[in-house]
Amino acid sequence: MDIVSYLNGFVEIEATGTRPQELLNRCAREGIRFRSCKTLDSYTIRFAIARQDEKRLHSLAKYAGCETKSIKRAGVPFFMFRIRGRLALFAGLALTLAVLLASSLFIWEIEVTGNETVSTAAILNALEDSGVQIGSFWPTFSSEQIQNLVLEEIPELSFLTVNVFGSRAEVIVREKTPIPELLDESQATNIVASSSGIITEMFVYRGVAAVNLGQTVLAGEMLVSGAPESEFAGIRTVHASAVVNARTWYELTAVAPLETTQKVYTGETKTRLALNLGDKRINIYGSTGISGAGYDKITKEHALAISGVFRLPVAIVAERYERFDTVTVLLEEEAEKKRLEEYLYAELLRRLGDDGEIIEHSFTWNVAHGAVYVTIHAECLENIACEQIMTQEDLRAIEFANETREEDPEE
Amino acid sequence: MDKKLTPLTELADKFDLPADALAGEPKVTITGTRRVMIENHKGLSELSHEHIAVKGRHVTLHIRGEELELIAMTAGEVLICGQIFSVELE
Repeated sequence: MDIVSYLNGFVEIEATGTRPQELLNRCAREGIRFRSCKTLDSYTIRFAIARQDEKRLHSLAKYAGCETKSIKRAGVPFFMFRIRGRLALFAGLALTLAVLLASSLFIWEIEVTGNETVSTAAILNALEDSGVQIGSFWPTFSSEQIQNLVLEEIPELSFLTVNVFGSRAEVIVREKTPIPELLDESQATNIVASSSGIITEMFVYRGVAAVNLGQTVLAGEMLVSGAPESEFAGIRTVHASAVVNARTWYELTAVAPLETTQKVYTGETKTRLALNLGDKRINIYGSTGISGAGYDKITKEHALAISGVFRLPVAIVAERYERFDTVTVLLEEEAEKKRLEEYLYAELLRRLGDDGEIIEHSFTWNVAHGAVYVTIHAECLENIACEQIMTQEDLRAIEFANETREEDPEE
Repeated sequence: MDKKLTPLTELADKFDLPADALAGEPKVTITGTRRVMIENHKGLSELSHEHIAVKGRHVTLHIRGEELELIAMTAGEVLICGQIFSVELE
């Protein structure tokens, strides 16, 4: 039956006669619309008509030689007729509607989106200071005022807007783009080696190379000097810049125990119920003897809400406790070894950065004291140039050298 | 079956006009194998799960099938649904 029939109300009729189709022909001629006609046997049919045609049909049936009876009355008008005397029901419905309408004017759920580095808690605190919190009356909100207050409190944010959908507030924020670090060209720096290795390539953009191609350097050794010397101008300081590619060698070791503890659930579960009314919590349980240790707690909150439309400040909280025992289990050596190898390889790639690459690598491993030790031996190619700001002593030494040169120009 | 054409049907044929509109001949629309719509009918003469006979002006249409159901019927139209095997003219 379609929705229109339900809204108008319909009656299911059972007609019995020698020629029940005659009744249908008369209905069609008289403009009585019927639907879903089924034949029960050769002499009986069942069909549905609109509720206002019921009387006319019964009188028409006499002329068609049929006996008719109404089997079922359904639809909105019949439902309304059945509940007409029940005042308490109507009052309850009206009260529920009033509560729903009133509750939709308050915020019961705040959702923050768009934040990456600023925590949601920090944004919620700032919103609370500006008057946006659970239970606040949203028609008094001024988006501009909230935006000003929150942006003043959290300078890392560049934009904030509050959209209210029923009793749910959606807070959209945008964070400021961090200002990129600018190269301070006036700062005197040298380039030193970040790792020991053999230099394979050098591109000096600013400064004077202090080492040669093919030379072995140690970590921290100066590669490019930021104090070039000129015959006429003496020693001046620059912000040295260079790319120095070198072959480097790494040896990293990782350890993992071959024994671990695992949870084994005993199957014993306990459930505690509580009622959340706004910020208040009412526990619907007595002493359950749950200490917390040896139990996993799974909390589910069933709020009185229509998802995305509105939410009431009432929720039933079900806390399910599952008891577990801990047992010691032995891990497979091979699996642990493989896991450590993958970890070490990934860790080495992370240390080399985007510019570096692993040319050759191998693993060694052994088991001792109930643990597996895995070591990666790798030859890599990477940029080992690392900026180092000149110390005050270095600068004073350069200044002193320049002064000496001025006093004794022949030297 | 050699039925004589009525003057209006003959006229509709000669001038290539729609016979359903001019002569009130029944118009049958079959959709797939589960729906038959008959316009310009003159009432039902048989009704069962397997067979529904619908009278036209000069013809009777026999719809045969399984689980046939009369979905809706007005003075001008009949809609039948079910597994339809054949629509015969008599």
